[in-house]
Amino acid sequence: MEILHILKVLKRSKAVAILIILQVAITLAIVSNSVFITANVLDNWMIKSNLDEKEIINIWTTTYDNNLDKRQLIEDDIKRLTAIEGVKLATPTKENVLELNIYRNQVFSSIEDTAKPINLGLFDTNLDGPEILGVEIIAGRTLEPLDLIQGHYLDLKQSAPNVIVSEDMAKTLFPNGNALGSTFYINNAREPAKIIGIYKNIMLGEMAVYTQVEYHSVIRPQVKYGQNNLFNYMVRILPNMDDEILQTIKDVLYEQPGRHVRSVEFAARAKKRLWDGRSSFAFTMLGISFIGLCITAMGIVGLVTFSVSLRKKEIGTKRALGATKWQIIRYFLIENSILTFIGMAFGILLSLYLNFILVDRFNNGGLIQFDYCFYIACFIWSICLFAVYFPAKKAANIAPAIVTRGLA
Amino acid sequence: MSELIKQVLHSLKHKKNLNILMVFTIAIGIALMTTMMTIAHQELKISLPDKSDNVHLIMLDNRELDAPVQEVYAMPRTTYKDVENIFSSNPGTLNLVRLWETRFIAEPEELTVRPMRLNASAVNNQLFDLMEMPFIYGNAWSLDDQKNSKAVIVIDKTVNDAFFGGANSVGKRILIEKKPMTIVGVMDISVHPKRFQNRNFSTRRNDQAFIPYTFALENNLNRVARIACPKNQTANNRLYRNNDVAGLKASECGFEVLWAEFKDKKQSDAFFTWLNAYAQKNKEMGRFFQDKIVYALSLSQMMAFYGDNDWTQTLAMLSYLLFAVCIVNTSGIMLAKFQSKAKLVSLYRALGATKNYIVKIHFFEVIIISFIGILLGLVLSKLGLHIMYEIARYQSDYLSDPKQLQALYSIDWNMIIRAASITTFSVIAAGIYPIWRISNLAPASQLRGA
Repeated sequence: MEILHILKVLKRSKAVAILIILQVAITLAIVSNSVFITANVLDNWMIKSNLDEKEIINIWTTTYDNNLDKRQLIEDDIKRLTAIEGVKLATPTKENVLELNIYRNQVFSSIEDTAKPINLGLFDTNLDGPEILGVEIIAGRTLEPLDLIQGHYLDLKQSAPNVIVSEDMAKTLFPNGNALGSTFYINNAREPAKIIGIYKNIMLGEMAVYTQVEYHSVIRPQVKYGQNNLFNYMVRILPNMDDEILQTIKDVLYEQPGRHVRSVEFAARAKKRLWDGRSSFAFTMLGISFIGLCITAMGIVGLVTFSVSLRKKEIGTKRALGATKWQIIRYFLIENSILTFIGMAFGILLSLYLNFILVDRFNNGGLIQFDYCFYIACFIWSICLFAVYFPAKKAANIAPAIVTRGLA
Repeated sequence: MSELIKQVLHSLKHKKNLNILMVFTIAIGIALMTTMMTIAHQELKISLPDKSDNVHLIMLDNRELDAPVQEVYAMPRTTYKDVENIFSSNPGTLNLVRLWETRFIAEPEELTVRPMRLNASAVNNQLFDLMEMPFIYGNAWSLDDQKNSKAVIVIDKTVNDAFFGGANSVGKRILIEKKPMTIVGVMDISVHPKRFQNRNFSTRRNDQAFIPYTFALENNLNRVARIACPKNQTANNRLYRNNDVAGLKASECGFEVLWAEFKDKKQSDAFFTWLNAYAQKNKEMGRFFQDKIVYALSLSQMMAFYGDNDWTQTLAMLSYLLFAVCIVNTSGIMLAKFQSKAKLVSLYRALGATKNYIVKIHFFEVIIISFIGILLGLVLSKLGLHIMYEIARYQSDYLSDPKQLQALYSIDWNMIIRAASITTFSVIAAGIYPIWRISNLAPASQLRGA
């Protein structure tokens, strides 16, 4: 068939063939890794959060006046916040939604020193906590007034005994079922907590997301103050409020002197921030892929033009022997496709090597997803065909009469 | 001469599309390479290049014998005891600087503006001389102020702009955590794109204020950076952060960063001789355990280490690779272009043109095209750097100091010249084979037939 003939021709003009193969290989390596990284980022962005991220606002403040009455501050803040138009509920908290702001929390299924720590998002809130976070109880009950523990940390010897946890949290702590009613332990102090309610999975904890246990969370009805100057709140607002409310909240909080408002932001912003590192990595790689594709396309145009200019007589002869213009174009498309395929074969090896480097050095290579490989290959192939079309068209316009001029 | 120019222009007009292709190939290649090369260069840029070999970070390894082997760059910070001993024995140095980081909420005394959370460091006044800190107003505090733990502060221009609208605020007071401090100077730390003074080399933010370490210790300002306690004292780590200054001072927990600037090698040799002897003496007293105790890193060494960003290096490698591909493609396009003129050139040769003449024509053609390509490429690289800057801002969720970050993505003439010369050289090299090919055409060889 034609292919054998083409291979023979390529053997003659080895340099052009090798250069095209090399470029396609390099481009495939870069493009495929960029796609894997981007797919990885998209997967992360797509993780179902079940979170009303535009209806929850994280508030992070610190006091710097030691004369402030902390208990009064919290009371006043809750009053101030709930008085704002558009704000439904407010609660003090330590950890914010998808924004840690404080040391990492961990839970244990037993009190032993050897118990394995489990990552999660731990929310010490008042009784409005569950509604603010928008959790849906699917077993047991929600928090009741008697569950709440409130006070200065030096006055409260115990921690809140009853908590509600997420489905996944319950499954991880008590894999054999019967989580409802069981007790687990919070942080190194091993504070006991009895599960009295379980809610549907919802993405709440920053550390949980980073350690790939996105839905691990616990809500504990506990407001302890005095250990430090941190005064964080979570606020539930009406749907479809615009950014102005962030400034309003900030202004209201500043009515209290001696306190610095570190940030007021939608949970949506905190969620976006989770993947900033990975997404900028992806953007950069995509940009380089695009440039690489342009370079390869331009290179193919140049190299094939050169190849055509060397073979004018041969093409003219074909035309003189009856080949149509389309057949000439088709010839070059097939020749280029062969080179592209050989290039992609080498490209796969190069791509695996690049993937190894990216994973090894940056922990960020993106899982190789083989179903994307087919689409990537088709895409690169079509770019190459597009590039070769122009010189091929020029080649097809070579007059058959060229044969008649001089010795063949 | 004019004949030559005419020939060059005529040659250029031939096959314009291939000209455009060549210009773009060169432009993309140089744009990508320059962008990545500039970023890599800026990350490795040394602050204080004139004295970076004479400024040393001094570290004493006070870890236990069974501590794991670790890199020089990870050696612990210095203890209060050692720093005090070194200072009080007054070794010959140009500048001796001690530093530890803190953070506080600051507001102007009149409470006219909202408070700001400032990253700051507790230092001695020799820091300003070592860093060659430019002052917009005022000066560093005096040695007396420092000895008496005076409540004085040097703030950065950004803080001065926010609190006082940029006016001369020397003598005015600001409150840090409700403690009044008198401003003695307003500095402009933006000349230092990296926060090297706390051995972190962050490019995202820098110190916004400096206070005397004496005041900071006396008033128990939080120690917010690493406190390296020996194994048997790690429980106190958290305690020493916010409390128990006396305990911290008496402990073997290192939290201070120690820099020494020397006039010349003689001075540094003398210093290290003394320091090694001091370390030996303390080892005999049972405070040190390792074989090698004294470590020193020059500022240039540290810059080379911390500026070596893996990600930037990988991007740079990829960009060099693609640049090489561009150059090869340029060669291919040149071959295509010259081949299409083969008939004409062989005619010229038949009519008496020398090989040299043919070479000259095509050489100048290559130069002109590469010149246009380089110009376009440098313009594109400015765009490329801007895009990378925007990506970096996005990555830090816009929390980084834009001015400090911009420094990493700025091109200077050094880079422009470097990129232009590499490209010119490469394009000429790429042109050697095509020009050789076309100049070697036998006269009239192409005239037969096609």
